[in-house]
Amino acid sequence: MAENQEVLLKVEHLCQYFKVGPGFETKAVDDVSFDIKKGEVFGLVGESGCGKTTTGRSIIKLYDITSGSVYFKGQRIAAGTRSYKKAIAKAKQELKAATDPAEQQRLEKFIAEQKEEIKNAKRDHKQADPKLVTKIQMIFQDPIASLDPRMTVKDIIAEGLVIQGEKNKKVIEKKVYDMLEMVGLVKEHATRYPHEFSGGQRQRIGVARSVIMNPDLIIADEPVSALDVSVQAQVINLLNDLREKFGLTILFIAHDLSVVKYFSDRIGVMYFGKMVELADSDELFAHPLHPYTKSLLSAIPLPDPIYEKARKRIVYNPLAEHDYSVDKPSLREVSPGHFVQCNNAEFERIQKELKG
Amino acid sequence: MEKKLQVRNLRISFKTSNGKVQAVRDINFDLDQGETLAIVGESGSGKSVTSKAILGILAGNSIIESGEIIYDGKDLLKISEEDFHKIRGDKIAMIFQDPMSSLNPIIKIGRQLTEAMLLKGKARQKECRNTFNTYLKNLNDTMIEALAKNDSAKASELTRKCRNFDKFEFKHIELEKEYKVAQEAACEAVTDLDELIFELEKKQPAKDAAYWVKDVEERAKESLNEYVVKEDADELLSLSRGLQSAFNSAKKKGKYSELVTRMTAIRDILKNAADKKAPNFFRMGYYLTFSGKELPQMDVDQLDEYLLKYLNDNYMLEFIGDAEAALKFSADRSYGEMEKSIAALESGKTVFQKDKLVKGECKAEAARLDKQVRATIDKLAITKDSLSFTFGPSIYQQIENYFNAIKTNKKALRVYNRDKRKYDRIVASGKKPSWEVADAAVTDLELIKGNIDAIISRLISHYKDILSARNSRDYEKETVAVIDFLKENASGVIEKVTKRVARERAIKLMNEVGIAEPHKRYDQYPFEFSGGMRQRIVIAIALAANPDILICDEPTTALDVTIQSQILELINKLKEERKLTVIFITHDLGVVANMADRVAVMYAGKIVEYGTSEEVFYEAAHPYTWALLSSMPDLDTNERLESIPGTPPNMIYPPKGDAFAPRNKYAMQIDFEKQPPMFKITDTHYAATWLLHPDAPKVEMPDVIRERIRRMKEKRGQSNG
Repeated sequence: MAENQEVLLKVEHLCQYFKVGPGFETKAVDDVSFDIKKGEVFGLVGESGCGKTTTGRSIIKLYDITSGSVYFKGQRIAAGTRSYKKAIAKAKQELKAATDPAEQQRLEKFIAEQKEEIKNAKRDHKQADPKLVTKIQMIFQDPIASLDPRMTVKDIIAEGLVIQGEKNKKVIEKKVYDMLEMVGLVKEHATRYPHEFSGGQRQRIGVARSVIMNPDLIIADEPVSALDVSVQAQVINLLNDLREKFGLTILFIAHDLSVVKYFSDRIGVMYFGKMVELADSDELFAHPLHPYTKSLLSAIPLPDPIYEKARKRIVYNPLAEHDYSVDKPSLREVSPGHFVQCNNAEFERIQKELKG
Repeated sequence: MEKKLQVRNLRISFKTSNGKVQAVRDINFDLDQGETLAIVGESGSGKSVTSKAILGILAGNSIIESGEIIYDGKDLLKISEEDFHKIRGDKIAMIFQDPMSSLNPIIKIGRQLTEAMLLKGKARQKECRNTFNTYLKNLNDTMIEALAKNDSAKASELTRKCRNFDKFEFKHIELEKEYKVAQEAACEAVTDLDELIFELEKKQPAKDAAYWVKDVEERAKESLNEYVVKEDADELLSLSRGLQSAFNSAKKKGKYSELVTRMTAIRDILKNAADKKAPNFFRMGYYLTFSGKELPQMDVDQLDEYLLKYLNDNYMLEFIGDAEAALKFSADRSYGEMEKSIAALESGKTVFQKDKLVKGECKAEAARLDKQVRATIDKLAITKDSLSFTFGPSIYQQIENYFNAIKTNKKALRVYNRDKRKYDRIVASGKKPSWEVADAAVTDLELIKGNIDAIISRLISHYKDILSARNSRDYEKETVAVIDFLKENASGVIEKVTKRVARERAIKLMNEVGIAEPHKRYDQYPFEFSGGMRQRIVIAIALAANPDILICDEPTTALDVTIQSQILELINKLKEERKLTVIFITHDLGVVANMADRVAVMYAGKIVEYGTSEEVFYEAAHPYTWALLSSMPDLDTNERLESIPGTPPNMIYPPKGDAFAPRNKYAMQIDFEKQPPMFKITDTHYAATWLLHPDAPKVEMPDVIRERIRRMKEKRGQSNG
């Protein structure tokens, strides 16, 4: 993973809120920023409900994001307007209170700019190049639920191509057969239905379906969590092979830290919709800085009875660990490439620890 | 160590439209008291089927072909559904994989927790009454037979004695129960008060303090009883009445000092009362029922002495003597029958050893033997000899299997021959068919005959063991045990599980499994709980009946790492506290390392490796265990993962040799031809692989695993130093 590689996906201040009732919102993803370089595997970990799947789905535009932007190959493919609207509202209030004409003029100009931004965001979000967006593909968690039980494997894999307008049956067939071979299945499997396959094979079909679109970025949402250990290894090896072959970039979402560590170049740790730590995978596991990461790492079970019986889990209690009443936290770079969610006081403490 | 559960030669298959799927093939394991046995394997390896067989909840299309699961002297595969009701949930409980699907979404948590308690409570009452009556009647009959064969005066005297026992025993239980309720209330109030006083002194009452204050008020009222709070009753009542409103006003003002002194006073009274020595209610029950006098005023020790003398002089010594004589009589009769049974079994054996069994003859012989064996049952034994009970049904079942198999074998051979002819024709015509002829699904008749033989010989040796121990029996001790047994059943009759009692028990349980503010959570629905909390509720439900064996079927697979780790800690904690024996089913080797004392690795319905957790992880011997261990990445893995190629075999046509051979890179020729036996590595470590045969080439554990063990050792060394 070279330092000055091209950035393939850039996520800026992504927020995804869901309405859960009149006046209530769940902040599933709250102000998350990261970028993924070409050819790398970016791991996203956290406990269930922390927003890692939502992040993946927001990137591929399964949801309309609330605020922030997603850039893919330098183009904005998704954008939200909430932050601009908030800025306008704030400026309008200031405008009411302002007396100085210069100040008033500045604010009016600011509001006009923000309105322009909203227009841009809406345009970018709606008119994102569909050809570009298909270069992002997704592999889902549950291989049983994500395959239509009434379609043959061939139809499932070819569906994307057909939607793209490919009409030549020979071409489709050839592509599907090639793909099947590539993921370790055989031609004969093409006419069968998903229920005839084992869990590992079904996940291979899921992989084939996304790789056939020749994507640049694959979002793999817990692709191995539902599989047995031995099959898990098969699917991970397959993804590794495909990655080398096609130079794929992968956003790998999982909660099994051993797998994420093995597979990813960089890892982002999420906790309650926020990114709390982001670093190279070796760096993160060797020097976890955020207390939540430490707690997460202490919970990994390893196949070693003596070690396991002595393992102590570190408990993370955000209220006890941090005092954010005055000093608000943000994601800061504490050492090159290593970001931690912290406030000023914590930042200084971490810096001291790193030096000492 | 005591063996809690023994599984012997268990063989289970499922009837499907495509044929018979052999899910479990000849597995054997023991479960020691207080240990955790982990069963590891891929999905479809038969680990869940095994656990379901232990719990008697196999699907309807299952066939148990052979084997036994011995729990508490009973074979769980043979006992009736009614008997199973007393074991399932009560003695052996299960936690399932998905907490959401094992809870009912439209019923409040509280009701789900108490449902079984209430139902079981009612059933237990009835059952205890039955047992008590039947046993006393049997005792009475045997007493008459033993002591008063032709003496009707003596007989009616004996009957009167037994009736009297019935009468005063219930009086005793009633007294004792009233006392217990009061005493427990006092104890609980003391613990509540200790906590409250501690909090109030620090001026930081907990969020739910008001609830506990109310609780104390109620408990204080409950603790009024002649033998608990007697002299101080008025004082206690005046102190505790209105405690809640006092707390509320104190909370408003923020001044607690007055309340604290009041609470301390209550606490002292209750503490005193809870520690008071209780009189012997059994003796008291007799005195109150038959003397017709008030209790004399004495202190507890003197009263106990006095009552004991009264009871012994008037009744007990005689009753015990009679009961002992009856027990001895009944046991001797049973011994005589056993000697007869041994002879009958030895001679009857030959009928089942012929080359070809004859249906009519077999059935008649089985019926004769069954009758003889049933005669050996000692009606007065508290723990019934289950082998004598299950002998008949198991013999009948095997005979049935034998004659069914003759029919199905013919059919299977016909199908096989037809296919084979067709196949040969195609080959002869020069084509290569895309299909293969499946082996004929023939049941081995010799195996069934062997089963019958084993059942008979086992019973013979069992009887011989009993007979050889006959002189060392202590009837005096047994009589005491009989009286205790009767007492226990009588208390079961009186003990009512009301909704309130159940609720209290449920809240205690919820507290125990780590649910905060349980009385609030009690009235919530499952969807209001997170995944981890739901699993805790499921665990609480499983523990409600206080089982000895807990089967956990992948309890953490649906949870993420941190929650998983919490739940595992909880299970370990409860195991220690409640002295549980745990069967833990999973495919995650990290979890196994955390939980297990011993590990059984299953593949294709067989146990392929079995040993202590250290042995299986550090000295794994079976290639499948190696494959499992090396296919799992850990935090330092960088090289390509060693995945296991292929898929598990189709168990409709189980392979002839080692089932793992086609996926095994160390497979030898013999692996495809013959199933490997269990090779013994150490006294506790066994593996079924031909690699352990003395003639096999030396194959070492793969480098990946060795490397990992070395690395982990270093890591441990660092963390220790």
